[in-house]
Amino acid sequence: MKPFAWILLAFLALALLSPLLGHFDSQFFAPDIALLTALYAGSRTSTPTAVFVGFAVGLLKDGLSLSVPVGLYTEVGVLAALLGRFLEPRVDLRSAVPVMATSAALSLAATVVFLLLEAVFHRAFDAYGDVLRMALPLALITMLVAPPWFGLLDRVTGRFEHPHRSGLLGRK
Amino acid sequence: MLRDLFQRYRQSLLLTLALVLPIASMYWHGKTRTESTFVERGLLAITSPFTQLNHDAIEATRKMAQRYVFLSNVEQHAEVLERENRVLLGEALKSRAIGEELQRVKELCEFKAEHRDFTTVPARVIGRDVSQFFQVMRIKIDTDGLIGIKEGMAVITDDGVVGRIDRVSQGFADVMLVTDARSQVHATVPGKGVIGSVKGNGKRNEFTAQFVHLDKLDRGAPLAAGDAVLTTGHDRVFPAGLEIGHIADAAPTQSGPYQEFVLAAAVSYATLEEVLIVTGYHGPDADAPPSPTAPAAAPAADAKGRRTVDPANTPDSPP
Repeated sequence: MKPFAWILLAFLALALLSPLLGHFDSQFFAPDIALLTALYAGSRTSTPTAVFVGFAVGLLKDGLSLSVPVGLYTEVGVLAALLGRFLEPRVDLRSAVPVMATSAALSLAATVVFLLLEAVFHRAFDAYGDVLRMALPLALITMLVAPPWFGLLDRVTGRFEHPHRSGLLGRK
Repeated sequence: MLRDLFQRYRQSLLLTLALVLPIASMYWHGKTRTESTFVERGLLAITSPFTQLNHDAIEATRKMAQRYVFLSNVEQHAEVLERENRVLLGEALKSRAIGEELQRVKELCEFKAEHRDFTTVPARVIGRDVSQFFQVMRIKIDTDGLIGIKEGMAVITDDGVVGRIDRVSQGFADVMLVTDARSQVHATVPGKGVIGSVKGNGKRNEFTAQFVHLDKLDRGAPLAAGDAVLTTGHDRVFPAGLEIGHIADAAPTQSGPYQEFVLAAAVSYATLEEVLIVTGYHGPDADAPPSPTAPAAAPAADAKGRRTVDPANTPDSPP
């Protein structure tokens, strides 16, 4: 049930982001929630589950952003989940600072993957300069949102797991 | 035997599928196409109701917060006056909201009545693209099922051009704004003897326009800041004579034979709530080429300070 709860939470956040961006006209300051959820899944579960979560949140983001060929954010989600699995034994993704650093680096890497996939699969795309210009602000805002988002997902996880396990938002 | 093999390689198979499926999907969807695929229609149908639900929830919260602030303020007054004030101010707020909506609808209706050469259907803006790299907004089409909305149809308001339909499914559509880096609109400045195109540059309220002078003999006065840039209708998407924006900076950059200007948008995309989708164009001279050297239609400012253009004086609009 945990993965479905994470996917649902990420989807609700993405769907909330869409009208909020319209209200506040702040498209350039939107954190990459799908990427963070995939990274979280990678750092907390087995590889098949993490890949499933990365695939699902990526696909939902594709659904909310049909400007890109369907599958682009799905691929990025799967890769982020796999990277999360790779980093799990090496980096402490339960503390705020490593989470922030990893999220920022992952956001920048995701932008590079985005550009590569756009170049290969989306011939009509030519806004490479704009994407590069926004890569750093996007990484910074994603980095700032990462600890509270991980904390929220930890709380959701806590509902399904042992009640004494601690997460980013403290002991539950 | 097969089951054992599957069990043994299940994880590898899953991984391969998860990595290859999106690539196959990208290959399939990345091709130039005129219609949405069933996957895109499905995703739009799944995600749009949630977007609309959240949009409505945000609106309700905003209204509740406004009401609370109002109630806190009137607590200092006498009880009777407080009650009366509350009712009256509540009515006033409600009336103002209705009035503003009516005004917008009236302007759209007037615009529609003035432009009988093209048919339009109304739509409401419900959200923005969650990808940070595109200028796309999501709309809910009010006349769902009555008229076939297709990709590529122009989206406008009484203020000017908004964009074109990018993806469409079951009463919802994504609109690529003219500020999107992928957008290009054929344009002219009336009376100045220039023709060219307006390209989005991914910024919120700014575009770039490239103009070329047609002929030395036809050349009019030099382009100046504030000159209205209109659609020519040559791109077969936007009807002729609609305002795209106005020249923000009269100092051009030379780019080959073209002069490049920075334009300010005619439409405020951030506060946009209702739009019109152009479903058909049947103007008498829809196929006639425009005359960019026709007498200049000096854009006058209306009561709202908005720049307006007389359609009769624009080079491409039908009589």
